[in-house]
Amino acid sequence: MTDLLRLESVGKARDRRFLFRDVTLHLAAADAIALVGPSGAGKTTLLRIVAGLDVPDSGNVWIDGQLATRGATILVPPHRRRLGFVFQDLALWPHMTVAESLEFVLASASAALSRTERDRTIDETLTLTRLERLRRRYPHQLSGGEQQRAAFARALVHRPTLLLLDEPFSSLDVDLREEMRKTLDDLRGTLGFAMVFVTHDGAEASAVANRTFRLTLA
Amino acid sequence: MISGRGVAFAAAAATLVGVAVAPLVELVAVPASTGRWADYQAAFLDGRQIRLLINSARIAGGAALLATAIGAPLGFLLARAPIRARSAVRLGLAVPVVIPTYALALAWVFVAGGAGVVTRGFGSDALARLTYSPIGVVVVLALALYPVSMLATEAAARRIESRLEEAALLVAPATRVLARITVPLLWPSIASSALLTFVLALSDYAVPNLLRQRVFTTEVFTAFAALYDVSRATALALPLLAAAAIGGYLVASFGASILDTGRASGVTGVRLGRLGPIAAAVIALVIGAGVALPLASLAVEAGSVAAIRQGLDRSGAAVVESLMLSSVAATLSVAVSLVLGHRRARATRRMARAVDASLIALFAMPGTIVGVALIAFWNRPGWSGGVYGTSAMIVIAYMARFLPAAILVVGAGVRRVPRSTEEAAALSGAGWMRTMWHIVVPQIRGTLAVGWVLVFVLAFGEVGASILVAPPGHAPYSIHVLTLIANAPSAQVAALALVQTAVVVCPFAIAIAVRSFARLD
Repeated sequence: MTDLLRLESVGKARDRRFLFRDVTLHLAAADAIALVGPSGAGKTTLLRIVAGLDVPDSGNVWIDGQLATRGATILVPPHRRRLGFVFQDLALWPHMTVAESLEFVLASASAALSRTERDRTIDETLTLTRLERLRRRYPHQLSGGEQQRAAFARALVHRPTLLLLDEPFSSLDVDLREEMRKTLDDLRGTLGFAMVFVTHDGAEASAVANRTFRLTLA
Repeated sequence: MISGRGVAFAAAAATLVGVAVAPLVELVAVPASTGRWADYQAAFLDGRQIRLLINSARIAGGAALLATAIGAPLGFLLARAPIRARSAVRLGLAVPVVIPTYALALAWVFVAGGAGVVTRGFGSDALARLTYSPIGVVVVLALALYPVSMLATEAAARRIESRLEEAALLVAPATRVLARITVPLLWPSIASSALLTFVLALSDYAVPNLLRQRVFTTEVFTAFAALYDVSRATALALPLLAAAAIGGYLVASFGASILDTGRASGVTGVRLGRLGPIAAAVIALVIGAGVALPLASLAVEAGSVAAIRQGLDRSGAAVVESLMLSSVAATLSVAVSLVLGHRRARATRRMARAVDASLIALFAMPGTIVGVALIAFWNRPGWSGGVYGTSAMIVIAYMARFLPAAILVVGAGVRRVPRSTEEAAALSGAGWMRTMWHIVVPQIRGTLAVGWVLVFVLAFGEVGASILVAPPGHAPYSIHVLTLIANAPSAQVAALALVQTAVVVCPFAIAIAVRSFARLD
């Protein structure tokens, strides 16, 4: 079976020092892997390389059987990789409501969908993330947990097969963190996406993922 | 007991009120105090006023649109495109904003005026007719003011959090991300800089005066200096006062801090690909039209280095006096703006917005109106009359015009100083003065230097207010040159304008280069 994600000997240096090197990793469909390691080990950088937002100095990145990055050359641009990404600071667009954000993503990533299909998908995603009544709210009008769910909704509305999460719960309190983990579990159960989850918290890694990949300081 | 902070604030606030606010309030009250209430009505409803308003607004609107169309894309390119020698390019593009507008207009007259190079070369006065028309004023003002939009857009583009664009790049191509994410996030800064450009164009006196267009500022000058009709000058001033106040309020309301060139975030770069050579050509064209051509035109008209030296010999005293007066105004303005800028930076959000709106409105106030207001306020029996007959009035005029801008710049600098550093000093027992001197000032030294250079450069080229308040025998350099235009050979005028441009461009170049290397790059 083709791996959904394959990293082959990926290396990245910064300031003449390796952040990491020879990282090789496989991820099957519906798999969930936690990237753990201390600060400065390059967890976020590796995730950005997978997304195509950054390039490695060496190695290959394969996504769904297609060579997406070869060395420092991007062969498949980020928007053609069909990924979802939840940023550490969420990066919600301040000038768009929740629904407008989802509409923007769908109109960009799934242009073939009819208007009706798009509206239905948006409604469905808002329901899954319990944001139906907040669809016309701007990010600054949402609470911390609602913003988190809006970030999930935006990352998943185009139904990616792979979701990348960069320490998405790091700024939440313990109760909200637990609630968000449950939300993420429910979404995975319903939508069945694979996941790479960056965290520096070992307990969180074992709670959300079925495999752990450890990056150490080079 | 009155604290040191209270004394400093009272002195600084009194200075701002005395030089900039009270004279304008008095000017507005002139018709009421003389019982001529109909003047208020005439200011807005008189047919001549309305025609003048339409002409002024048309020219200022055209200049703002053109300046924004040139400046905003350049600002974006400076922030995001892979430009070699970025600091030098930024400097080259930003220079026109400090060249006195009369020098720019004069340069274009030498190129495309009735006796200009182009007119003589082609034997046709078609271009000259265009130069001495509203279109000519729009083009010259746009070339003078596009750096406002450019610098504001560049700062805004650098402040956009890169994650916002990266989140969109995961689902959309770069062009769509630019249209739907980047431009909407830049829009408040672009709109507010366009508004500021509009008000600055509306308040310019030198360009419409030299290119013979009747707008509010030239009419105010004529009414006051030629006809000595204070009431008419006041009536003409009211619509401009209103426009400046509304403009200031709108600029502040957009919430985009256009004078805040704070620390840049990690920005998403753009690859220009085949558009690269076109972008380079546009940059070269703008530098050519805004800087190289005007300076070359002045240099050619001046004729030789000997002519420049001769001009300097004849006007040396005016240069020295102008340098001194501008330096005094800049130093006093920075001292006052340190106190008021700090207070503004630590104000509540609502208060800060109101203060910003007022300061922007004061900064945008046309020079001729400031001049008339200063005369009305200071030329009276008593101690103020003693001040009125001296060169101090020129310093007051410079401060009235540019102190508000210095406060905005210093306020933006203080906002970047963590409040906790002051609180820590206070907890250790330091008083306000000690905290300011040892904690705040060292953290904003660069900003204070930029504020000083800003006031110095603008004051050195100021015409509108100082031409009205300068005492006999003490004309600052720019006024000296402006009055020579009608009476001296064009070579001498060009040489003097070139010298003035060099004097303002050099400190500006050093300041922007230091700031660029220290902060933006």
